[in-house]
Amino acid sequence: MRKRIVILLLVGAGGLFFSGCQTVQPWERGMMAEYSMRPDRDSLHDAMSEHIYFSRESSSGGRGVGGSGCGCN
Amino acid sequence: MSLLKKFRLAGGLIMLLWGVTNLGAAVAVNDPMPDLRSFGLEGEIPDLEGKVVLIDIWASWCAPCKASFPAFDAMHEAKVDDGLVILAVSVDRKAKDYESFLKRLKPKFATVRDGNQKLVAELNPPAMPTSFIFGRDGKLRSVHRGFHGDSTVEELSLEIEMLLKEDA
Repeated sequence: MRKRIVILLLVGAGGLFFSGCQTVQPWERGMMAEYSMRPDRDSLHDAMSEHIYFSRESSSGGRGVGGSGCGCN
Repeated sequence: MSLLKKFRLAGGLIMLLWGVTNLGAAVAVNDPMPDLRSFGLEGEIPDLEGKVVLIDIWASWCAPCKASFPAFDAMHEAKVDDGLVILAVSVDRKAKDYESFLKRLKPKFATVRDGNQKLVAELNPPAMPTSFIFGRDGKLRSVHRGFHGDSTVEELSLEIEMLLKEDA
């Protein structure tokens, strides 16, 4: 029983200390603001996606999210 | 001690240890200004002794930072003779990004680059950009998160005006 608890605790501690979760600080978000991160970086791809969406859903629009994600301000 | 209690105690200790290791070092209101010369900043640091100092943390990739520069230029021109120093600290990793940004905007106030991001880690700004305002006594008076156009300019101007009236 005790061995099982020790193993459980070790796994719990390992999960906390060796997890891949990391807070990206506001000053480290430069990469997210790059052009390649923009959802509308490729106009041809956008047009195709819009066409497929319209064909499937008989509706269009709702894609007006602009800019990239530095999370400034 | 029952097994359940031991389990809870051990869990609590792990959480405490995890919390302590994740504490960030931040400069708080009334703390003295860190010694800027100890962070290996690239660029000339102006004389800050007895001045009201606005340290602006910015980056070339940050759109609101770009919008803030003309406002800081105007503030600098209006109050530099009264004892205001604006020091804009870039967190750009690449010197090229920093230089091309300055070439485009040509700020009149002092700018330096914190390429290794040591000063910014010490100041721990909550957003980009953030303005840290220090009084003539060198102590942090307030932290302004982000740049929201006229409302931010008004807030900063009022506060700077009050601090400039204080004695060193």
